[in-house]
Amino acid sequence: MDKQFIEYCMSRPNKKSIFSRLMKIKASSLDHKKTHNIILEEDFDKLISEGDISELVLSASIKKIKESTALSSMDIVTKRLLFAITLTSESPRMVYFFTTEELLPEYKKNKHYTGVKSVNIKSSQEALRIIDSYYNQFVTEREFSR
Amino acid sequence: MALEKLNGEGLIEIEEIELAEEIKDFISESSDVNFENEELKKLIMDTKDDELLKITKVIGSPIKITEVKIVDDDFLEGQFKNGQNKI
Repeated sequence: MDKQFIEYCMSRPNKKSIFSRLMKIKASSLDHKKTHNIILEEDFDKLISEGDISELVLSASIKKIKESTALSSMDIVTKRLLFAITLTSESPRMVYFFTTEELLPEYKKNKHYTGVKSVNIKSSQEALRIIDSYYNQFVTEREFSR
Repeated sequence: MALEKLNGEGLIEIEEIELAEEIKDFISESSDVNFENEELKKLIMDTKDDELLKITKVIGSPIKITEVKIVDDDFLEGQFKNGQNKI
């Protein structure tokens, strides 16, 4: 996720439900428990410094990861994109990357995105639908385990 | 990720949000955890496994759970800038 997508989530009237779902997905993921939802440390720290969401809830919803120093001189869009591509070296070798409608073209036209199939970039409403889908899996798994 | 700070007694105080199921497992598997009062333990054990709880614990010897809050809409309301509570 990028900072702008989190800001988009915070602007939604159902933001409490969105963040509650993100927390449950992160806490319960079978393959990536507590690391399911990821953001660059730089984006996380900016969100906290802007003060629109508590650090407690943001950290329970998404895990911040410090980017490699090799990325430090790059622009933020490239940095996020290359970081997402790095994540695909681990199973399940595919990631969703959530952003906003406005920023989506910036990622898609980035030269590093050319030919990349394992990073699936989704924006705004479509990204929220994917979060709902993951949450529904959480609910279904709970129903089966009872 | 949990938030850590030093409390007034110089002990590490940790705040975190977890699934109730996870906290119940922690309580049942750890022999080094106790509670500020038994009501906190009852609140945790009575909460459905798939609900979120915010717990505050102090790390000394042993670990003491000092506060438990259900992460519901009222709690979340105060976690955003336009909520009523200070972040």
